[in-house]
Amino acid sequence: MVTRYSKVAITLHWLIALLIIGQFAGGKIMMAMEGSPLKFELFQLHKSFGIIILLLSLLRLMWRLTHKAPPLPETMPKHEKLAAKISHIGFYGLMIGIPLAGWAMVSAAPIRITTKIFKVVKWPDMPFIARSENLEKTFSQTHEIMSTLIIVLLLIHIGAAFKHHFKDKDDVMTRMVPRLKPKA
Amino acid sequence: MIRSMLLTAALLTTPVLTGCSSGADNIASAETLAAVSSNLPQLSGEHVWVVDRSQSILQFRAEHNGDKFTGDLGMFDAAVKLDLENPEGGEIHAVIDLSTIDAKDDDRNANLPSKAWFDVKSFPLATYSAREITGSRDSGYTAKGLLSIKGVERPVTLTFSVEAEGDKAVASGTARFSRADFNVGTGSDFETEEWVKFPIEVLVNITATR
Repeated sequence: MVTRYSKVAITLHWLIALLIIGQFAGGKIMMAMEGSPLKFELFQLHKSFGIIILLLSLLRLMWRLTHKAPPLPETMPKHEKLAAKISHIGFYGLMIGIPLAGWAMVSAAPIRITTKIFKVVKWPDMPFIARSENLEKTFSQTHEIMSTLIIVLLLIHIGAAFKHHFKDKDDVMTRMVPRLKPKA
Repeated sequence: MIRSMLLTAALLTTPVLTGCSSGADNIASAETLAAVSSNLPQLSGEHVWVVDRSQSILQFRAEHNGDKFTGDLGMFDAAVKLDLENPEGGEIHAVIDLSTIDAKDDDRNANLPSKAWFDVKSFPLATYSAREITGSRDSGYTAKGLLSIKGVERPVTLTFSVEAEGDKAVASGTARFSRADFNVGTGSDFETEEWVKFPIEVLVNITATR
C-alpha cells in the first residue's frame, strides 16, 4: 500500500506552495506601489511566476489523476475525510483558476502590455477575450477574491496538518514532508 | 500647473541631427501621403518652400516608465511660406498622420492608436498652423500657432533656426506642450503622470527648397 506521496508530488507541493506565498505577498506589494520602472518590473515578474504556477499546477493535477495518493488514516472520521477532499479540490481549482483569471485580466485590459516570461519568452494573450475595461475589472476582482480564498484555505490547510501531526499523531503531515519518515 | 508652465515657458531651439528617413517609405505610402497632404493649404508667392520629405524628419521626445525616448512622428507633410529676412508675413502649416507614429517599442506602438491615446479612428491627423512668425536668421525664429490633436486645438509655439544656402534651407526647431492638454492618454492608468509624463517635445528638422 502507498504510504507516502511520491517524490514528484512532494516536490510540486512545496514548490507551488512557496510560489503561491511569494505571489500573494508580491501582488500586495506591487499593488500598493506608486508607478515606477520597479513597479512595472514587479508586475512582469508576477505575471511570469503566475504562468509558472499555472503550468506546474496543471502538471500536478495530471500527476494526481494518474498516481494514487496515500489513503487517509482509517481512524479519520467521515466528515474530516470529506473536508480534506473538498479542500484539496478547492486548492486545485484556485491554483489553476487564479493564474487563469490573471491571464484573462491582462488579456482583457484595453492597454496592451506584452507578457514576457522572465523578459524572455513571449506569452500570448488569452484567445477569445474582448478588450474591455469592465471585463478587465471583473477578472481583476475574481483574481483578487480567489487569491484571498487560497490564503484562507492555506491557513486552514496548515492548521489541519498540525492537528494531524500533533493532536491526532498520524502520518497525514509527515507523508508530504521530505525526508520525514512516518512513525512506525 | 505643469501644463500652463509649459505653454508659457520660454522655448529653446535644440538642433536635431539631420533626418535620415528613407525614400522607400514615401513611395510605398504615396497614396496616403496624397491624402494627408490634401489637408494643407495651397500657398503661393516667391517665399514658398517645397519640403524635401526624404531629407526631413519630425521626432518627439517623451518619458514612459522612466525611459526618456525619442520616437518618429512618421508620415507628415508641411507647407511653408517664409521670407527669411522678413518673416512676419510667413505661414507654416503641417499635417501628421498619427497612425504612423513610431514610439520605438512594440507595446507603445500597439497602444498609441487606441481611444485612450490618439484615437486614430476618429482623429487620424494632427495639424499645426502658424501665421505669427517673428525673429531673424541670426537670432532664430518663433512661430506662434495652433496645434490640433484629437479634436483639441491649443496654442503651441515653435522655435526654430534656419540655415539657408541659395535656394536650399534646413530648419531645425522644437515645440513643447503637454499631452494632457490634448487628452492624449486618458483612462485610469494614464490620467496622471504615473506611467507617462505629460511634457512632450517635438523635434523638427526640415529640408526645403524654393
